[in-house]
Amino acid sequence: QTSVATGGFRNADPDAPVEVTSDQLDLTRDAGTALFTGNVVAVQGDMRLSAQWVLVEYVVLEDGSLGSDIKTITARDDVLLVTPEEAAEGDEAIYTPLTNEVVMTGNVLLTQGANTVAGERLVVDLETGIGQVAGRVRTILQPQDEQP
Amino acid sequence: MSTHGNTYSRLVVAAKILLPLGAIGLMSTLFLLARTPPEGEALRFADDSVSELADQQRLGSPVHASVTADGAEVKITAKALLPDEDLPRVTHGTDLFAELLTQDAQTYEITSRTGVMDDINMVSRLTEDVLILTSDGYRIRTDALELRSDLTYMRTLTPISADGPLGTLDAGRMEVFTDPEDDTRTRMLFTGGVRLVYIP
Repeated sequence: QTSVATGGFRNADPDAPVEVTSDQLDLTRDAGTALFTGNVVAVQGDMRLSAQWVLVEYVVLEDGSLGSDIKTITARDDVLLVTPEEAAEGDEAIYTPLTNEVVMTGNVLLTQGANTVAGERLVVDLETGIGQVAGRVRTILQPQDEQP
Repeated sequence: MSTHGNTYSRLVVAAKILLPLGAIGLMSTLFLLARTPPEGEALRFADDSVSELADQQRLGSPVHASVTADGAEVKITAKALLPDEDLPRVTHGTDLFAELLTQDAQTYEITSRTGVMDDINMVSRLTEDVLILTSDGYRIRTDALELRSDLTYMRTLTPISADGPLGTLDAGRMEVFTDPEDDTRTRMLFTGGVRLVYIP
């Protein structure tokens, strides 16, 4: 149970526009959900999240209308979170804008340059950019000269 | 002045008083006893549709109204209506205004320049500058749209571009229908490639 602090996940600009593309979008309005399916790619600034299934849950205002601020974004099926310095893949990722945190679970593989870290759970604080991998952590260091 | 003159002038004085009084009496009975106006046929326009017509600057053309199987209301009106030459119960319209009120109180107000209302297949097709305004703030533009009158179902036949609480959205097609799993809920399905730009 060790954790590896990385630094590359800082979300440079949380207010930058988010662009989401996918094959399909399914809006169930009074439930306040938007479900993107099929080659979903969400880009904000230089951060890129891709997956096959992304559910965005909005805060539903009291009068039942769809608020515009997001409660959580849940991504599943080959989830890949890429920033200029890091990449993390896993079975599922949950991003909560309120706490500015991404929690990735299931066969997590975090690569940073030549080093990869595998574990069960990755918690990334987008403000500080610190990512902590936990759960059967295995670090695979690529010796520099044996670059593939 | 002879006495004879006296009675005459007395008569004149009496007449000057009696005659006007009589006239007033006659006049008042005329109004008081007038019969109440005949009980005419009630006004054909109900109150709300009059106010509706007023604020929409729409001619009082007939409204195609229907309730769908799952309890939604579909109303379509047009500025000018022209029955199809050969197809019975098919009407062509210009400047159409359609309204879909779903069961979960979502309203879709659709305007278009031209359209066809096909009562045989219970579907209307709105074309040219189709604009959909939804009750929770979406403005959706497309070129052609089909709206059923027997079911809560609307689908565009052309790509859409929309803006609303989610941001701006472009998609290949859009469908609006009652959620099969929960018929109190309406779903909007965008297919054929979706691009959403959301500004937090």
